[in-house]
Amino acid sequence: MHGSSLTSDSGPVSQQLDYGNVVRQTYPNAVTAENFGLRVQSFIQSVSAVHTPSNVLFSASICSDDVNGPVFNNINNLGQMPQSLQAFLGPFMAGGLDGYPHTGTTGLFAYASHVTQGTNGALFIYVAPHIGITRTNQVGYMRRRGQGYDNLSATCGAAAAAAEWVYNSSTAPSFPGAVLLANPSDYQFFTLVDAIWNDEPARNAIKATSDFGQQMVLATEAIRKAAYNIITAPVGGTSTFRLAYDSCFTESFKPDVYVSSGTFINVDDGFKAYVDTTNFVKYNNSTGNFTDYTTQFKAGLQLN
Amino acid sequence: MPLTQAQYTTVVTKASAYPNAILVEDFGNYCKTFIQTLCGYSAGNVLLADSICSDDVNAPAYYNNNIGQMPASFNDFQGPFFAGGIGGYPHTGSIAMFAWASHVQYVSNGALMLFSAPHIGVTSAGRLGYMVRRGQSSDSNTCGAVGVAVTRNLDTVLSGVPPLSTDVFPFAQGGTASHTGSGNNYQQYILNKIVWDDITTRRSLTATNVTFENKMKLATESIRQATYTQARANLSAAFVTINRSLSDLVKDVFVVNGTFINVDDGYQAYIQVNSFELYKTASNTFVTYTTPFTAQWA
Repeated sequence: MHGSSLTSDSGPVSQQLDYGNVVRQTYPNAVTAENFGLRVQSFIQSVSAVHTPSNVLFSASICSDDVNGPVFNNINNLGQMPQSLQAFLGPFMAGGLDGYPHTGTTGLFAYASHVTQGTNGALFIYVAPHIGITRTNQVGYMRRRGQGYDNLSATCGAAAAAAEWVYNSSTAPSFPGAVLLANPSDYQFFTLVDAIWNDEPARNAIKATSDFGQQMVLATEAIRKAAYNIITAPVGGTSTFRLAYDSCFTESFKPDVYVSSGTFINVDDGFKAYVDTTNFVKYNNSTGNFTDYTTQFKAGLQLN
Repeated sequence: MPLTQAQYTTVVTKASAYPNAILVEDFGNYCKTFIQTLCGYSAGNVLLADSICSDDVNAPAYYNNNIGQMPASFNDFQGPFFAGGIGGYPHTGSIAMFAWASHVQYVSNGALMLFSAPHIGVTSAGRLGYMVRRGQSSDSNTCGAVGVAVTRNLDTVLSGVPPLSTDVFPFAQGGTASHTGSGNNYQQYILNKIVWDDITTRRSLTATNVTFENKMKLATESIRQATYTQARANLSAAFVTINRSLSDLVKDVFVVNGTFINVDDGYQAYIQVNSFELYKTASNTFVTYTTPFTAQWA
């Protein structure tokens, strides 16, 4: 399906299988991003047959990093977003630095208003910060195309800088502030620092270790939680999602909405990326709550 | 009777403020040719960053029949890094420019291209600020976030006071009577502030004799200018303020700015180009090539 032997979807099979085992040392339930996308397709259709991928508008709250660009058909590009996610409409690019939904309530409202109403379409919102893991198991790093093999690239770089900020600071971040927070253009970076800082267990754990990989896992998870929570919680009225949904839709059309959050795991150039799924929920538009389908969803994930 | 693409071109260039608009597919190819001719970089050795709107109609051209209107000719550049957000403004900041630049293919002496463009819809009927989306039958305000910034100025009270990040949704982060709001709408506040600070535009947005469609055009242009200025500032900050040794990795950054023009579903999009520059990282200088670049199709 993918032309060149150098595309990120076509590393030799055995090496890719080995890579999966390396990734699962840190994220035990990680599967290839390609398989994750296929599972999203099959799961949504199992709930409602009318929701084929071409009738589901996709919102990707992922990091702006170029390695999260798409895997293109027959083009040797460096993006690691799988083709299985391209079957959905879009995506709306809801993210920014490290996948936090920086586009906010307006972004979510605009996206929701683009639903294929004429064919009774649905929405799928994916929220995932990213982390690199090298083939040789350096957590928080990846090897990028056109860069030296020994020159590992901290990924997500913004998360690494945010974790370092938290590690070094004894006072809460403010904006505009000091040390990488001085430039008024860097509100997104402040948001990441603030998210980690406000997660007290994560903050304390980051401060308690000098291990870069551990700091990166902790920072990534703190950002994932903050990103998911600003979209969905607290349920019942104050979330970004409810404000946008209730402003956008009337009783005459209330589309189904699926939300999944997790961690996108980037890999050395030439390999397929992985995904660790944290949750998969469906919005119940009569109760205003989210129904948890995480167990059923994950049960159908193909490992390799 | 549906329009042909050639007829759509006439609609975009004649009925709107975009007389020099060209197909984005052609624009992508002109970028490749110009960069190759000027400096010898092939597209595969150039890492692209797009400061464009997050809108799903700005998604890349895929192999399937998807809704994204970015040109397939862009896919030959590496990436892209997504530097934008609502309205196409470079919301990811100077830190993103540093991160992106550090991803350059320095082993093969690669280069960078920073493309920044807010977007506006033009329907096949010539309506500015709107497009018809797949699975929908009515005109959709595009860019919707620019539409929000315009609408704020139609409010008799709010149009007289500067935007606040705590303005009640949809104007910024605050909630409504029934929803207290999550405090998550900073990008909209930035767009509101851009048009507020542009006094000439603000006056037109509050004028009663200017149509909403023309207000969309004026606000888009105001945001384009702010995007141009901020994209260059963020780029320069990455190389000058954050890390001076970054210029050892990459010498050349092609900096392109314009207005991206979305169209009704099923047609190819357009762009009106405003500038094409080469940023020399070592000297922190921008060299203008707009005239020879646009001469490719003049």
